[in-house]
Amino acid sequence: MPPLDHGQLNQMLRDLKAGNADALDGILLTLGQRMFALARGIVKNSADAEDIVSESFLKIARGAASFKDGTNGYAWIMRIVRNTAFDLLRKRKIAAEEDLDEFFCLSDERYSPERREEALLLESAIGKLGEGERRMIYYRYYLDFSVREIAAETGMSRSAAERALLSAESKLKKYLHERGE
Amino acid sequence: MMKEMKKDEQIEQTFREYFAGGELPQVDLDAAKAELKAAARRRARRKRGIVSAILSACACLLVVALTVGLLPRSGFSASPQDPNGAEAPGQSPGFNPSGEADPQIYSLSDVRMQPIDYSEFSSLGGDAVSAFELFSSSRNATAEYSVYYKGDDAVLLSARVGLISGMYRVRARVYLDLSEGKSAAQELLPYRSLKEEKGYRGETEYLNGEYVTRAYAERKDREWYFDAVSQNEDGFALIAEILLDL
Repeated sequence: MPPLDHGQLNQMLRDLKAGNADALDGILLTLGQRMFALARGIVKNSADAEDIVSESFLKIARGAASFKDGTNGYAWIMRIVRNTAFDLLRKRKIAAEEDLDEFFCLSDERYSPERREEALLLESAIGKLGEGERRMIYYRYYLDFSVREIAAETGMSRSAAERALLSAESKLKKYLHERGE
Repeated sequence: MMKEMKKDEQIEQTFREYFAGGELPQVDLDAAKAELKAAARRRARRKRGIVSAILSACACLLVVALTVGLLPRSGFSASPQDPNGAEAPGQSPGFNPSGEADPQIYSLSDVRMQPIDYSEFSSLGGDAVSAFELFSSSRNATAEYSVYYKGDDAVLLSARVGLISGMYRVRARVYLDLSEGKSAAQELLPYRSLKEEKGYRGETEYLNGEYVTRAYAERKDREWYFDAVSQNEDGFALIAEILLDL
């Protein structure tokens, strides 16, 4: 599985900025699963999650002209999805919270049977982490937050956030290694 | 600036494969594609408008120059009174050799303020305001956004943010100039002359049991103005760390 190519994604955003509508299809192919997973994790149902992803693409199209090249396009897009999901909950007067259990159960539905076993390994390893550790993994690997952003999100200092993240990563790798044996 | 910690490659790879196993959502891109085309048409209309305005301005200047005799009607030939060749045109009163116009000064009470949501704030401010997203989505923070219009032009963005850190709370009003130096709010001009600190200009006073900080910074091609209040003397530093990456 090739890595998520941030350079390629930013090129798509540049194309979008230049008015090339096909770039939206490229972004959907590259990030669609992640965007849907994030939206579903917040609103907890697939139908609303699909609407949120559609609306997010509308906002991406509107905001493309102001996107600054060289910055993190992936994080920009995921923030749009997250904010759109929160907006929906606020409109329905539901507390905008992120239930971490909802983010790490992708293998439940509409998942590739060939990959399910590996997905369950990851979910099981994450399930062994504490709440704070899972949150660190969510911020870092779902939302692509920098350490600075994690620090601001949690009210920690940067050094404390870095230590918490390193600890979570270390434990997750240990559990992945154990489960994989 | 603190060096950014890299992601763990093994975990990153595991998550890539995890996400790749999910089906693509059923997403309707028609509205987004239509919006993209509409935005391109608006930009093209604005460009044509600007070009027309420039051409009209040039035409007006030419007419004025001809009328007051600054340009010879027969061409750029030497004046008969000057045996050495054509004279350089004289400077008209108020000519600015640098070519830059002084900013138009306005009062905040004379411009129209409109509350907006984060989406519009982000759209108007671009990448410069990306860090504000943390205030909109964090459970430890609050944010309210506004834009100031001078006529039809958005000249200033404003955000009221609040953040809880440990035992104390920080509140701040942040202004960002959108006019790229073409205009300035008279109430904010004095902030530019504050004492130079590390990465910004500012001053902090202890008033009525709180630390009140005024600050000014230039960052990401924008001018930033801050009014921060906190029970802790490091309150402004926390805001600056988030928004200015200090």
